[in-house]
Amino acid sequence: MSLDKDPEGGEKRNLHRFVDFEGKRVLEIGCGEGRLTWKYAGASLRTFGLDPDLAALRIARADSPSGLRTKSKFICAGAQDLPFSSGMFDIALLAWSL
Amino acid sequence: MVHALGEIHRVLKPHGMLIDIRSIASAWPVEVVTNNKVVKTAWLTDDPSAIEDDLAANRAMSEAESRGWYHKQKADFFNCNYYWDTPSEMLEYLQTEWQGFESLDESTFGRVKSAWASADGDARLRISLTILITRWGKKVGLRKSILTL
Repeated sequence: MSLDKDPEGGEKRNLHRFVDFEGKRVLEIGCGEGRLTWKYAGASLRTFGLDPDLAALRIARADSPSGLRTKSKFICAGAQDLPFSSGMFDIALLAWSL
Repeated sequence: MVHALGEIHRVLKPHGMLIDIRSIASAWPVEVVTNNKVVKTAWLTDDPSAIEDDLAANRAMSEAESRGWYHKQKADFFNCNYYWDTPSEMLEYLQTEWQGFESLDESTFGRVKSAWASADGDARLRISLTILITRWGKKVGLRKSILTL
């Protein structure tokens, strides 16, 4: 399939226009294969990607850019019961998942 | 959905923010794109479930706002383009990935195929999605607000 998603980078540009990820702890809910994650994780302090789809998370882990492996972590979970203690994150990102 | 928004509120720091980014069903245009021309040839049909999903998401955020969890700081729409080399590849994607959300009836698809076939050799198909991005600030509780005065 020859699908080319957002080659103009509109999503990345608008995301960074709305929020400064620099040095922030980020929780992304519905990260899937990490398509959106790689557009900001480099700027963050630490990024946690959540998704209930284990197959998608395996792809996200496998595709992690080498420079981002230490600062990004993927967890198989839904948003109904977040496996984190209170007050951990500066930014929560609902990635096409609300 | 509302429960999940409550969980997100819990794990955010006191002045944390929630970013909601999602596509909005709005009869996305199908265009034939060449190096020097863009021609709108059709519009997708929003399935009722896609519209209902958007409304349910809006309702959930309104409920979270009325419970005092978040306040809206900023919102905007922008376009995100998806491109395919051929109409059949576009249709296959529509039928597998967007089934139950967006559709293209047979006669409209025929019109798209004709427009693509009669365009220059470098012609591609483009669907321009409407994306809503909203930034919400976490509201701190009244007691905490008073203590910080």
